[in-house]
Amino acid sequence: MIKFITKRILIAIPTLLIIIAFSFSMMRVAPGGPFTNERALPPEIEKNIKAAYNLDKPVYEQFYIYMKNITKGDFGPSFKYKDFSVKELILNGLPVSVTLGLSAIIISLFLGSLLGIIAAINRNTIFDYSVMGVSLVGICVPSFVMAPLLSLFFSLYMGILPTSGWNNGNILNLILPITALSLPQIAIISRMMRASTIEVLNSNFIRTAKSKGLNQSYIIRKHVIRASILPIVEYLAPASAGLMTGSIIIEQIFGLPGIGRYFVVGALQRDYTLVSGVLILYASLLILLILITDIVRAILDPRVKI
Amino acid sequence: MNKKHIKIIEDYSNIKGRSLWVDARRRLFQNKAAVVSLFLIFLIAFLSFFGPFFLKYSFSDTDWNSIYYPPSLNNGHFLGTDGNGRDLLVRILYGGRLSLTIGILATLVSVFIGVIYGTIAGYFGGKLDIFMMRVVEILYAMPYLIFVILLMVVFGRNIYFLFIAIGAVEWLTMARIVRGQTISLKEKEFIETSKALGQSNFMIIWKHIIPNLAGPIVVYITLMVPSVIILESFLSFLGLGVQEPLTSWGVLISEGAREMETAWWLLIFPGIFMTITLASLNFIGDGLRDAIDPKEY
Repeated sequence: MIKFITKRILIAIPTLLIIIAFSFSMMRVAPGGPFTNERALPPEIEKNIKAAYNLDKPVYEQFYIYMKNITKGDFGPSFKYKDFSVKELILNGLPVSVTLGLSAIIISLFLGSLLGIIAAINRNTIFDYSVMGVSLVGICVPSFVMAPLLSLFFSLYMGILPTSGWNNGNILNLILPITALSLPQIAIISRMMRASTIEVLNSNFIRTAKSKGLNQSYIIRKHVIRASILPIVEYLAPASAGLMTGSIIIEQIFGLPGIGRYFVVGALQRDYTLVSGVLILYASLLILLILITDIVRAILDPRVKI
Repeated sequence: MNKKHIKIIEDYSNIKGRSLWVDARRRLFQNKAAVVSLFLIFLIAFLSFFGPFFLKYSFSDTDWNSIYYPPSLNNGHFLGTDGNGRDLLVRILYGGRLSLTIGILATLVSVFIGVIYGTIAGYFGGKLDIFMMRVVEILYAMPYLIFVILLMVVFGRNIYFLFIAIGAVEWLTMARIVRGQTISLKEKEFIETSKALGQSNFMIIWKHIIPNLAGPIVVYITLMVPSVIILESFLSFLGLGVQEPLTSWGVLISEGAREMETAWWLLIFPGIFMTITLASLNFIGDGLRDAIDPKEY
């Protein structure tokens, strides 16, 4: 077990390094530096500015300084938001994005598995067909179509929920974004859960449990779920990646001041430090999640002993 | 052996054998959802590429006298007009042309990379395989989309670069599938025969391995085109993809979302076109998968 975990960590570290190196080199390759103005600066001032940002040092030294700063949580100053560092901007947006992402992932895991299990137990009934039909819609309608549609219906026609804004995390403002964010994931998870539950229900150890005379709810709780939840655990990392990218769109549509919003603004305004700071944050979160899912899977599934 | 038996054998020799592909086609056409989807996709593709020639408006014509016309059959703007008085139907069809083209081209780029990478890793095996697959594993852990955005930011919003960037990040799954298939193929007798006959590795891969991978590749292509279309629309929605006056479904949906309070049709119709396309491609992909390899899934 310990060997397995160390091996996973050993894969995770170079991945993170590659990502940091990649975004660093992208910033260097990018045409047009932060100080290329239409009005050329006097050479002495330009020299001073470059020295202040360590731009006069050789590239490998710059990379070393960048790495050292990142370990301290310092991603440098934002090019476009004057007087803000990237760290401040990220910390500003973090509560919004975390609230959104965490609630979406909890809701989609819970609802998705629940619907999938119920659909699998009541296979080929109206419930099964309607869950699968709705989840098909959830998969086929992309989130950037679904989200405006939801706000068109619930905010503009029904007038019961606010269209956009954060409003200090008011629950009414959160309902639509979280729904739009978790719908595709609920759809995918419920389908996966249904398929894996059906497979488990047909397996030998469930037949044994049934022939021992255990009642159905006990079998489902104690035997079926433990085996059928495995693909979902494996899907957790891709799901979070999907939620991260989804949240970029959702924050844009609903006007929430989260990290995704800063990322888009940074991308549109070529704010390289901001973009690469957010990129590194997202990537490290994702790598951490993959690590956690691997460990959880190893605990749940004794067959994983690589 | 009496006459009856001879007759049976003669009849039998007249029966044409069914190849894998004939079989697959038969199974595919039995799948109603796939047939309907095939029809819809061909319809949308045909309309997108040829429809604009038969409409009297061009996709970039602005008309200040016909701003925000709702859909109607009378004035020739069947799906209404946008805030610049441009005909929505023509714009949707042009957008479809672009979205489908990017979807197909980016998929081809990724299939090209994935097949080469996967066959090399699978065929040569050993340390090379371990190294190449470790690279794939590392790349898998990266948030693709964010990478594409970074690439778009750095290299500018060029439409050709867009599909190369998308193709370059989407090849990983293809490489994995191809590698797995190659490993099982290379143990087969006919590969051994080719080796014994002294054929070069390159020719074996080209003539024997890749043709036998056609099934999974075709399935994967149909499942990949929709995901590329979503990716492109996603970028265009954020303003990082296709630029005005060119348009794609993502651009139209993003414009529609901004103006949905005054003009609901600007959001609904592009959304419908896109959803039908995505759903159809997914159904075709599922149908093909069941048709080509009924037992594996």
